Amino acid sequence: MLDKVISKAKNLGFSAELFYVKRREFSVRIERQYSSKDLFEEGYGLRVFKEGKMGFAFSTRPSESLVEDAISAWKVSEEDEANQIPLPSKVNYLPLAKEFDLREVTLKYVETLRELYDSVNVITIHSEAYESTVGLINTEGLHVEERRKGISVVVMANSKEGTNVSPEIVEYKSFRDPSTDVGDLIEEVKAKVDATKNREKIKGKVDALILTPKAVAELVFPLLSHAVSRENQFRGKSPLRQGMQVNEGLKVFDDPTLQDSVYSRSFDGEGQGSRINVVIDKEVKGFLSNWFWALKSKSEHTASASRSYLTTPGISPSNLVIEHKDLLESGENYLVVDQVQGVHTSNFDTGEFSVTAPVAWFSKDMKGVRDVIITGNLVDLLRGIEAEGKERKLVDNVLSGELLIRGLHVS
Amino acid sequence: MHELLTEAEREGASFADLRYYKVKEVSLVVSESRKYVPVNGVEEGYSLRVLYNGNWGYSSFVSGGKEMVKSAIDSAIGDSRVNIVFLPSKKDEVKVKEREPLTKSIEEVAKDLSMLKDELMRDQRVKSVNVRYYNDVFHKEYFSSEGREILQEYSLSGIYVTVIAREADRVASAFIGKSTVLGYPLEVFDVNEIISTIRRRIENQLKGVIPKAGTYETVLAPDVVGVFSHEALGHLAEADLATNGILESLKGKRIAPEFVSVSDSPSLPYDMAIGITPYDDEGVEGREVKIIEKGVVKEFMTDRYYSAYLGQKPTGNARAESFRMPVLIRMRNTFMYPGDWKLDEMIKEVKEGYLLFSPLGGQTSPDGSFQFGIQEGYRIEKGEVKEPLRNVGISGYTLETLNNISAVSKEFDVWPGFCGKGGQSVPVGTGGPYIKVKVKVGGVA
Repeated sequence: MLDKVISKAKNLGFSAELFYVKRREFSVRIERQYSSKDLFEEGYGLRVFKEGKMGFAFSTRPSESLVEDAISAWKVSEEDEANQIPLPSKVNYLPLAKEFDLREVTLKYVETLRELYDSVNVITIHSEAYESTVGLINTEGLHVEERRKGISVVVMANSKEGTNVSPEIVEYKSFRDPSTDVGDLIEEVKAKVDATKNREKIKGKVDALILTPKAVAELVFPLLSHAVSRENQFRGKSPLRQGMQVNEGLKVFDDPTLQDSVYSRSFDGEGQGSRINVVIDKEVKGFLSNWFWALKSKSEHTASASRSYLTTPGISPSNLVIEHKDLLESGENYLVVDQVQGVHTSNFDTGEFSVTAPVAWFSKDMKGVRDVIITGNLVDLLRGIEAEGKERKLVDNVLSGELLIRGLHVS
Repeated sequence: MHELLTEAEREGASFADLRYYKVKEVSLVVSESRKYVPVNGVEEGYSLRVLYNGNWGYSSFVSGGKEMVKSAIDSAIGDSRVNIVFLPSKKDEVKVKEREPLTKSIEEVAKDLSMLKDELMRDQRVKSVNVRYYNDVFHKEYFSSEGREILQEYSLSGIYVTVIAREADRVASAFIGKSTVLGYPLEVFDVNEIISTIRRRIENQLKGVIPKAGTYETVLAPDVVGVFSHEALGHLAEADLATNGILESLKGKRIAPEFVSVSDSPSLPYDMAIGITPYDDEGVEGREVKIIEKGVVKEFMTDRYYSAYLGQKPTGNARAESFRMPVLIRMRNTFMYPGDWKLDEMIKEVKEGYLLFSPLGGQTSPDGSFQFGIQEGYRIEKGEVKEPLRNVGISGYTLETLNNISAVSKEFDVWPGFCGKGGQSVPVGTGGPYIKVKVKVGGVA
């Protein structure tokens, strides 16, 4: 069927690209009740190109009628020389599908995490394992396909005694290796619930704080992800500029090849072979692009197309790695921020943010604090990074250590 | 009864239901640098749920037959303690009628969006304009082993405009979004009002001042009060969160002045009340949920399970984003009831504070803390509205904030939103009057 769709488009005089996904997922969610799900999904997204115009259509069922639907969208498209079909690219396949039984692994992690019921008020335990086949085929000879498997676990917990309710601790971990230990996650939940049971207001001025790897993933990643997009830079929607001096000790790069990350892939959403892209090394080195925005901005293509079958490709980092040359020294009593709230209310185009930190404590005695508001902007945040903790941790799609930051406003 | 449900019963399920979703989606984007269709197609699939040995099992699929019954039953694991409210059999069809149905071709819609973009680009300071139109046509069928067969059809459309402007070294970013189930948004809504709102917000961002952080007397507009009612209070009253949060032990107790009442309703007679849910995704008839009535915590939003758990009449708040997702307890149209004050009277009462108009989403936690951003606001001095503000955030604790409300206006409005929970997004309406309240205001440095 896939070949038929491509041939039909070609016979009508179009270049065409079909993106397809087949996914199986097994998940268990425990709240007051158990809820388990077995998902079988497939989907197809077709792009057609001709005369500098692009059309798109998708369906959850493979059908030749996708071609007519995509052509109807093509008629609306504005002519632009950047509307071109991606060409074949060399792909080095990564081992992204360790063999395991989805159900067995999901239940194993549920059982392990149930230990938490003995020590904290568990709101949710969620465990999920998936297997997907992702591929692209186009009229220019491109045909890539790979299997990807992954596992993720989430725990939400707090302390609850009448109306004295502590903030919700949300801990999560995703990985590809089914032998991964989640004991560290369990210990973190217990320690953080304990630290935030009785919080006090901050006394005095805070001029430096530490973001844990989780807080980096929650605060820095969304802002940076928007800022390093070539589309946003080209359209004046990024606070970063090419060559802008950022931080003498800072390096940030996008690495789609980290094998245990569920965000890694051998090729991007347009079938282009994955590569590591440096975005910041003391200064802004480059922006991430897909095929359209590389051509449009006459800049380098970075194979950073991101998509589902439901949409045309956008741009997004795979795994952002954040490094600083100076190591964080222990001894000082820093405010440690572990969880932030309200990042989506930021002004992503300017990088300005104002977030609350419901889960935060002072490093010396892990004493929880409340009513913390952190305000600033992305550029000042990056410039203010002074050191990095010894241990790097992968949280979602960010690999970083604890970051010591000065210059943000904490109230 | 649907054959898959008959098969589920034959396999030993004590209850089973089936959701069928077919959504035709089109989205069109016109910007200063591109015009294209990023979304165009049909999503179609089923979600079969069985209650087997006291446990839920789901099978969600695009195509399949009786083997999916086995898949659902095999996935029914747990502690065998699920108990739900059962309902009588019923057949019904609900088709939401549009006031301004779309009569234009997609090319004509693209032309309308281009005109809107060109108008906004006339300001030399404007560097980027993004106009997005979407139209999702829903066809949903629900079947249960109780003999319920519910069909619902409606169309959800929206227009979202984002503008970036620069003046000297200052960057302004303004946004407006309107969605409706009443038809083509550029005919349901006043395009000139959309343009003037965006222009005013850009101007304010370019000229505005950053407020000094602190606790102030503020007047919050309906759009902000709606988001407060949804984020700060509504989520805490979703039964799955309420039973882990601060509201459970406060049921029947006063937490706000007598003139404060907050409800969640399956429908409201306002253009942007897009949380319309005549029947939820468990086939339950929607009814108004009085979260706070005259200052007292009254009841929580439930699904079939939590109705049984709390001994509360079903509310119709179980919703799922698509066939892929399980149902969760979600809000629909959440609003604070209007009061007796006039907006002008409230502003006159404020000596030093802020008038805050338009939120940028928000977030809450079961401990009762909330935070959300504001994209349009003004300083108030001695009862007069003064200069505009740049991006502002407000935060606080729900119980403290509710107690700090000192006035509620007659004026009332509803705004649309998309609420995220458990990885799912559903359309909601959020509404309210103007209120005068003491709240923590944080400036964006």
